[in-house]
Amino acid sequence: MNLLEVTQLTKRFGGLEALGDISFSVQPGEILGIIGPNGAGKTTLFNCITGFLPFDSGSINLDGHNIQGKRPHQIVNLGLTRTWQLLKPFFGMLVIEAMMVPSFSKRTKSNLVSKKDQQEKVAEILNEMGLGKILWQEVDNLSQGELRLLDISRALVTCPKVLLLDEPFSGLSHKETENISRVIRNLNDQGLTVVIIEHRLRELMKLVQKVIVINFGQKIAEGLPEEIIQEPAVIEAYLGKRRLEIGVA
Amino acid sequence: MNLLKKIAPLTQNQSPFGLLILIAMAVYPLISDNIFHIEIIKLAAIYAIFAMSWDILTGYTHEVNFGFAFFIGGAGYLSGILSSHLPVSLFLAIPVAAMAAGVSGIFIGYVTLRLKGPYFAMATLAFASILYKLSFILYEITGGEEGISGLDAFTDDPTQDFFVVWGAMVAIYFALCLYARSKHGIILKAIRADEDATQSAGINTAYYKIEAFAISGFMAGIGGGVFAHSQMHIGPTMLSGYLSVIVVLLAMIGGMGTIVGPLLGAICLSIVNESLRIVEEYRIIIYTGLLILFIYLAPDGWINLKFIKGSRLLSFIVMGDRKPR
Repeated sequence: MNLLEVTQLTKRFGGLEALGDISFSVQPGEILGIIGPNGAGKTTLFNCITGFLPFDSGSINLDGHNIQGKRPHQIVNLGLTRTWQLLKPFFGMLVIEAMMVPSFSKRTKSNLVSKKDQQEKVAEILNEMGLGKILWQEVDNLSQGELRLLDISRALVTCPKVLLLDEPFSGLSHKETENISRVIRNLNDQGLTVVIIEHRLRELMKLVQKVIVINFGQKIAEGLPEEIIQEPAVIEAYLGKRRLEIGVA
Repeated sequence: MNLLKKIAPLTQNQSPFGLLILIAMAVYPLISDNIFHIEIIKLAAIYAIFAMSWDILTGYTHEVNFGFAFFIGGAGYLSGILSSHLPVSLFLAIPVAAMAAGVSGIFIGYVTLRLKGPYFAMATLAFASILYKLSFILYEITGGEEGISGLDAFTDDPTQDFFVVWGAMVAIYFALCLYARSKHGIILKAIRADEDATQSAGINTAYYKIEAFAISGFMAGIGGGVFAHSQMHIGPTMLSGYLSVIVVLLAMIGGMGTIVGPLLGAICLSIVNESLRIVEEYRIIIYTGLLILFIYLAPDGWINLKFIKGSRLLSFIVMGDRKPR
């Protein structure tokens, strides 16, 4: 059974078709990568799935629930949580406060009934992320890498079935990237389904089991990572077409 | 022991500075019988109610409510009309008027939900202007320009009157502190930082914003009712833009998003304003000059000054924060 199923999703901004007939599905326990050049519509796709943007036609099914027309917080409470490409940290709060926010959601409350369980969950996630030491610091003082981890931790407190990561490696150093890769792999080992958008193909390809390539709002390829990088359409989308005449001359 | 546990949230993490202000205000009338001074402190207490209830919405969500007179004057008028035209005791009229202000807070909150920044401020300003004009149009009930005079007073004695106002202020202070320190306050702060991120944490942000609006309106309604009856008069000035702006300034200079900041700001500045009456012809110039100076020197307010927030001792004294190392 598919955990997340997107069927013929179309989104237009006025005359511009940002997403055209995109279909794909995600199996439980899988890590799916979505790649594509700048402006391909990857983030728009995430915004549609998470309810931040309405879409024009098609359907999205999450574990048997049709989520068209549902509001973002309702979708989170159904078990699909996202992180942000441009970080949206809770500035002006302590790390511990920022981590309390998602624990007030309906989903966390129904999964972890007692206050103590909730606090233990928050503490467990923070320790796993390596953020245990900065619990009482202000969010304003954190580094980019820590903010990334905090963003993922925030998403995890809502006990998601599917986690959508929007460019989790952007703006990070090599070491921080490795750290986040490890975290994602651990989460997946524990049974979490992950969908990642990413630009840095090298890191992504090591992580994912299946890749979808989007260009100009169209799905141009789908398959295993090794196959995808051989695909002519994908190479063309990223590197452009070789102009044979010039090449020969 | 059990009772102590129950009231623990009221006393935990209280700002020692805030408590000191409340106690000092209560002690003054006991050691002095200068009616003039007591009247000034009473007025300061009323402005503190306004500033604190404004703060729970705007200080915590940063959506500037520029039409706060809507709640203050609206509730003041309603409670004045109820107690003067109808045989209703003022102890019933004020809560009813405050409820009405709270319900209209839900309505305005719902209507302005998607508005942000200046658009939100303009919309709230418009609501207050509508009510201001209505107070002239419906002059048969509201008394037009002159307003309604001779409202019932709480007591016959100004000092006892003061303690009624003081009691209302203390109750509102603790209620708002409790609310701000609960999960509601944390969620409002998260909305202030980023509404989308709060939604993606599974929180229905619209609900919490409207709730804050309602509570802000309700508390301001109590303040407005208390104001009307302690002055025994209600007029269109209580619906005017001047009052809205002064509430914004008092809370901003004190320090938004702290509850104790607006309390401090409102009380200090009201007392300064009234003390300047000895040089009445220059009062407005000196007073507004001071306000500008304070905003220039401490744009985030006195309480949010960097050296206070940075120091463990000062932030404990002023805010009641106890950060573990």
